[in-house]
Amino acid sequence: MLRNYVLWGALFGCSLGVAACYPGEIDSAAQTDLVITFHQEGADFQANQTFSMPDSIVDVSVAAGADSTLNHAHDAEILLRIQQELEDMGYTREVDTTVRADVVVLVSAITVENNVYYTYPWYPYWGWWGGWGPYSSPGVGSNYYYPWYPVYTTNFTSGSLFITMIDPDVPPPDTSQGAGIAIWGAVINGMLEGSDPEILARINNSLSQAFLQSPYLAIP
Amino acid sequence: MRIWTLAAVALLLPGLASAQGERSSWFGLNWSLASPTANSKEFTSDFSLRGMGLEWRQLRGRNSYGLSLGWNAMNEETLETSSLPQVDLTGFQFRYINAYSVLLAGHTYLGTAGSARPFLGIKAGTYYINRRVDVGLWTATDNNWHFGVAPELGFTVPLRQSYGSEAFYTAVRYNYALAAGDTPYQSWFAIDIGIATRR
Repeated sequence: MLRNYVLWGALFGCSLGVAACYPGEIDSAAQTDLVITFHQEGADFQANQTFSMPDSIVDVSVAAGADSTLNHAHDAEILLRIQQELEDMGYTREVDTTVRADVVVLVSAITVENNVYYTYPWYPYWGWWGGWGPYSSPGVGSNYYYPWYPVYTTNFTSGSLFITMIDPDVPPPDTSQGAGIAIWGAVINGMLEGSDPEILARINNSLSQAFLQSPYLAIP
Repeated sequence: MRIWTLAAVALLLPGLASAQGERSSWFGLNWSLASPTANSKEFTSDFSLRGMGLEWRQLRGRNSYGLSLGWNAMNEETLETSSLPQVDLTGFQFRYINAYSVLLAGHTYLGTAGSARPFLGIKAGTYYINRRVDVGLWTATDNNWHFGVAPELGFTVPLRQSYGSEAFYTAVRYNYALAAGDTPYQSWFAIDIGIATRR
């Protein structure tokens, strides 16, 4: 009889052990990295040859009046990486802010929770940039029209990097919705855990992935 | 669905009828492995080693009826790019199906008492199925109650003499849970390996 209980106890223990060993959980910060890209259906990306890009990454939280712990130490490296990726796809950066480029590439980031992707007015954040001169036609307003559904960020330990390519020559369906149209966007999101070099490496990988999964951006 | 229901009733009836005579209770505890098929395999393709079940059967002669509780956890980890209109998304995806079942069961036994006995059975009842996708820092999940049936076949082997009332048993069961809510039908093979006692 005693051996009966031992046998049943052992089997029950094994079953609980199996049940307790839950499969496949996230076990590294890199596994939380997510790359989402959006594009306007029917956009003629090949019509664009040059791009302008402000030389700073805007901290959306600070620009919106909130606190932020965004680390700007690697802004230059990140912007350079974006420039290289675009150049690899055939674009040329226009650094002269008095010259009107075909598209404008804006880069921003955020580290706080419960923020809505691009539902805020864009212009005040980049208002300081001299490159707006060529676009200061009557069309420049307080925002741009985004032809895709907004994305929400939800976790305070996460960071998000936003890249938006705007074509100021293409008007939105409703002129009250802005002065141009975003024809491509990328969101890179993940947990901000690990050393700076590790995080930068992950950002670089995600940037490469953003362009890799957007082959339609390439121009001959 | 009607065919499955009729089949379940037809196969459960002999077991229910057996309640008329001398009774003997049978309790089983098993480790349940799972191999998803069809829609479930599209969602989580990996063979699962995680699951368990509890069974009670009321025996009479060559037949039995009873109740079966089960759990199977299936999962898949993948790094892939998913494309939707205007949107492409790349990230690690952790996909899970947790299927909990509460099933009535009917079995009929072949062979003779005291030796290895094959059995055929049908189970029918409800499945509570939770499907979840973790991607990046987001989670998408759905939960539904499904009606389902599960034909099975297996065999029992009495343990050595000192455990006269215990038996090793194993069974292969095809679980078919009908579509519910926005979730299409789910199906998987389960392999149960367990021990049973008869009182």
